[in-house]
Amino acid sequence: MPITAHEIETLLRDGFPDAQITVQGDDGAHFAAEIIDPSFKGKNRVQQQRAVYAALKGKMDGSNGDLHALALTTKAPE
Amino acid sequence: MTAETQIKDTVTANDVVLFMKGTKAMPQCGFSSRVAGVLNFMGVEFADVNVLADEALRQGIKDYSDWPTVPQLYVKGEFVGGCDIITEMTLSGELDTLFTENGVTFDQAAADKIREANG
Repeated sequence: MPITAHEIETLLRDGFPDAQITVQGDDGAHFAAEIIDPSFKGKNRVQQQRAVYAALKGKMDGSNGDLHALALTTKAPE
Repeated sequence: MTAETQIKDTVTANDVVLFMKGTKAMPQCGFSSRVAGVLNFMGVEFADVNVLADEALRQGIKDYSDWPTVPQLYVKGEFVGGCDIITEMTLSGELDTLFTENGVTFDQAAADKIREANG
């Protein structure tokens, strides 16, 4: 089942209620997401992106994952 | 040998390792291609491991780093990041610093050129 940008945004919104979130992509396979969240403060990029992957609840996982390509940009608010 | 042992041995025996889809000569995914391309362009000597050639490794590398995607870059046994992180670190110069700190040889002029072209 192809996933939509809207579904990705909903998952991210659940995981990061206070974040500024932008999701782009409409081909069902390739997406780009930017998440700016206060909880990222003091975390390195690996930690930030692990938290994002956790919010996506396995959608990225395995050869059968719904989501093949998600370019991530994560940062704490200025 | 378990996938975990195999991964540990590989990242211990090689200063720079890229777990990727395809090989550095023939990447089979745009994200893998981008990271391999940066390393090739910067003249970094690295070991490439094709996860598509081994299903146990493909899952094993995700468990090893607790990171669900490939490519994955390791320097001196430490997981550095995936495609987005490596791209950001390349453009910010952090990758140069990481290589320098770990005694990894790379072409400084080539690294500067990447930043010039993407500045």
